[in-house]
Amino acid sequence: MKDLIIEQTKYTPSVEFIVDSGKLKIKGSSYPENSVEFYQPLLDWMNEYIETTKKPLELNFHITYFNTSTSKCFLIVLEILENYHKSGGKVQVNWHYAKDDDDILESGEELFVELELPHEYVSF
Amino acid sequence: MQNKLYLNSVFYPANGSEVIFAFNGVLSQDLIVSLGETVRGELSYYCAQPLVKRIFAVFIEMTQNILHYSLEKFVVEDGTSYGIGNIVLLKNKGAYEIISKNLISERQKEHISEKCRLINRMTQEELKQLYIIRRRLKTEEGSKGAGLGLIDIVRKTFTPMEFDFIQLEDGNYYFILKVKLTEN
Repeated sequence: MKDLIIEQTKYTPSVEFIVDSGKLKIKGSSYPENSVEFYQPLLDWMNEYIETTKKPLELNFHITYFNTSTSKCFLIVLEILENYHKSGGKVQVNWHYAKDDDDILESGEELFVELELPHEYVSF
Repeated sequence: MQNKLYLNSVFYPANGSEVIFAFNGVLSQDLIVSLGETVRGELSYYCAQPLVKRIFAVFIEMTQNILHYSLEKFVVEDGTSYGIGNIVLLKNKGAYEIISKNLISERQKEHISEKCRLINRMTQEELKQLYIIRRRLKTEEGSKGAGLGLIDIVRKTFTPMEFDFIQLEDGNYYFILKVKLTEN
């Protein structure tokens, strides 16, 4: 399987999903017209990685703004990782936020609130 | 809120009120992005970043609602469709108002009206819980939205929405939504 690399645009984040290291990064703003269409390849990549490698995964979010339909997609991303974690996979999620941006921190906390998933908040 | 008030707010703004911009026409994703950049740039002169971010977020939800749900559409040859509607941003001293207007069906009207009433009655904590619960529900087949926009708007404005419906002769309605944001 190949790395998944998507360039950042004004309304979609950059994506770097690296097979060898198991490190994933989603960075930027996210308010596409059709969020499901944008995030589907990310979900497919994660499912394939989990199925074929069974190796650890570390996902880093560096998000400055996301709309409500993206928020739904983030939850689906995290649910995939939660299932992997529950079935014994090694998973870590880091939610990066600017230290003066309480809204982004809170929206992160709301995503993790009902998930059983190792995660950390990292301010910069 | 009457339609006349909506038009007046655009063409004859109330005392001390200033139209930052008013848009009427075909809304594409690219245009929403450009208008959003304008909102962000323009407002950075007037107010603090947390408020700019909240106004931007509400603006994006309102314009993408038009894009996804307006009954009045502009369809190009390859099948891509855009929503037609109005979006207005007003400034009155420290307060900002965003008004949107677009065409909806009678069925949409019932749904939106019920939803707005419910959301307007809720506390911030209840809205947060509703948002979390609804986010876990499956998205309707073919829908590009998440059904969370209106909830998110009131969570960011901290005040009830004003909304109105104007019936047209063909049985459809104009849905007008007005929200207000201020510095905390």
